[in-house]
Amino acid sequence: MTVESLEALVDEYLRVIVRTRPWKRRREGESLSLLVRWADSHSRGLAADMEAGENALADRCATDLGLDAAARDDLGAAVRNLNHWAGARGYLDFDQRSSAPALRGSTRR
Amino acid sequence: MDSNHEAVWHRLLSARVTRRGALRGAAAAGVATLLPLELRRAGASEPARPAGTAIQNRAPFRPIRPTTRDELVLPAGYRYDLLRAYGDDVAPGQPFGYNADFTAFFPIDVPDGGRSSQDGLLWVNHEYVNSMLAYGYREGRPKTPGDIAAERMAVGGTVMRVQRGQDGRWRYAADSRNRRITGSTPCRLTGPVAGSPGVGGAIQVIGTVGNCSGGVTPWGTVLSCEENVDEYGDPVTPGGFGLGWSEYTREHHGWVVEVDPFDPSFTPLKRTAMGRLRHENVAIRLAPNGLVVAYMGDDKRDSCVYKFISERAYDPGAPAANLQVLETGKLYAADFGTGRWVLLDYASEPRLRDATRPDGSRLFGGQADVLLDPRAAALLLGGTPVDRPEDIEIHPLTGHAYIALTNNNLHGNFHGQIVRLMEEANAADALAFQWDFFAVGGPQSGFSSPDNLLFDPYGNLWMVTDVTSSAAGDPQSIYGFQGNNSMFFFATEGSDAGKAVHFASGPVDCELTGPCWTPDGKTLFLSVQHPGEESESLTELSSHWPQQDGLSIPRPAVVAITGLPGWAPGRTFHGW
Repeated sequence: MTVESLEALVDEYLRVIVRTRPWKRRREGESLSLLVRWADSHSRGLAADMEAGENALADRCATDLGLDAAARDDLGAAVRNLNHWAGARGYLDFDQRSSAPALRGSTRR
Repeated sequence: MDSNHEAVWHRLLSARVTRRGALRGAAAAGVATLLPLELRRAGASEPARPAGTAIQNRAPFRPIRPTTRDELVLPAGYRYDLLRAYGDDVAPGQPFGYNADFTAFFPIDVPDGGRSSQDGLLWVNHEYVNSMLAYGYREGRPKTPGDIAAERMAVGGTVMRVQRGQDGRWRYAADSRNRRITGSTPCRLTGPVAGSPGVGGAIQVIGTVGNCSGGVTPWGTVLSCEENVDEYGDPVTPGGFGLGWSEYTREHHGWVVEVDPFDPSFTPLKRTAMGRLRHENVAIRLAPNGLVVAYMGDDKRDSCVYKFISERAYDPGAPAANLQVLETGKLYAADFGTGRWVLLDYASEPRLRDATRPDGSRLFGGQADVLLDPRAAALLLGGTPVDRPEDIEIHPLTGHAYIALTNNNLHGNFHGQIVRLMEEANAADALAFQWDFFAVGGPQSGFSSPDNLLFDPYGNLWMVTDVTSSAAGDPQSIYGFQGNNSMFFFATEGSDAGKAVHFASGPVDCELTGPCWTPDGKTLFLSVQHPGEESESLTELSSHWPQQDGLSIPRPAVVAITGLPGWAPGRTFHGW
């Protein structure tokens, strides 16, 4: 997954959350914005971090950013939810060399 | 889709912004030679401006200032009457739905040829539901059947009678035609996809959801557009994004839905020939030969603008036959790079027949599959992905289509534009067009993220904005200059053409949606959608609007705004 596609994924996720769980948008949006900004500065190692799993990804991001325990928990929950949603939608199953094609593509899944 | 293709729109954008002044000049020169719009069949009355009629292209109000007040703020001399808010009765046992959106006013006497501006049926869309604010859902507990029943009841549409009293105030009125159409209402698929394998062979389907904006037909029905329909059938999980509706089939939704508001027994008809998209709205124009042309935006970043041309002509003398006009026709996508409409037709297009998925299986097995996924077909054939095409409306004097491109943060387009599309020879069914920018959002123009559009009979454009509620009204955000989501007026002719004049500002976290006129132009109906949407709990409410009936929980509602001067004597306008 490229950094651009992660940003696209987060953005689309927040658009969904605002329709089904609008009360979570602000908190998850803040956490996932941190993740995107962090990923932007760690693009070279991002693929490996993601392969290590959602918890490892959130941990590394939280450690690098020096988040406190509460913010770390929020980030972990947000990343898990994002991953769950993206997996269910089939958004993680695409050509990793291109820029978020799944988000631009078919209405049928 | 290759990466070069997706960048086309942005290269075009850059070039057009640079050349904007020159292009606008050229477009203006071209307008003078264009034929007047035909809103009626050839030979019928011509709605174009009568000779010698003065253009009224000055805003009929003193503009408000941007504000973050938790109120629907209007210019001095204007006021609003709240007609219904979420939960208010529409009919016995049928409450007004959540997140009001598109509205359409049907004069009560229109079946008899009248044009009442004091009494009518008002259609209102209900796009989606905030479970916490609507019925107190608390995350972590399982949803009960009652919860889901409440959600199903909260979406769809409302038909209700509204009347203006002797005191000038608008009120809801009981009527035997009042009804709710909901997520449980039986509907029928029509057209090429009905009964096809892609919908499990279904013709009868359950409910309508995601009802965003819409349109009205020349024959007096409403078109309600299903936009975001994906999450209803997903389970309610611990992390949660699904709504947990059982018996929900995604492919049964995402269509344009036609309803006759005057017939309480009418079964909503889902028009599959118009394609399955994230439908924002439908803007209808008649071709010179009477064919019905419908412009549609796919409200998604990097998605296309579409045009449907009916196979059958509209016949003002055949009301029953007109209900079949939208059953068959051709669907096109706009290629802004060449100025051509691209036909999405399986039979004549080998690239659609040959398209395969990564696993080698065929992407489309026939035209029904193309209509189930026009986005994939359009991108395959050269349709241009643009920056969230939302509302499209037709200029009543020139016939040009105005397209709101709300924004696209994926490509740094944070404030959006309004694009003007001019058909070749000004024929609605043309297959070639020119285009330019009418207005570009940003601090320099005072507005951001254009969404629903509405013309008045003088060709002035009224527009509401859709800045995400997490940023709207935040002075620290790049959208702070606008205040809360708002409504603006634009002249489309004269020296002030394209300049935004601030008409209204909505309550905290809301989006103003679905503006429509009475025929005399003295009333503007408007929905206030998702006030207080950013509230994290029922004890941390970000809005309390409308604060009626002793309730502090924010509630979406529809209002009637008065104080408008109306149109000049003899002029009526109803948008259809």
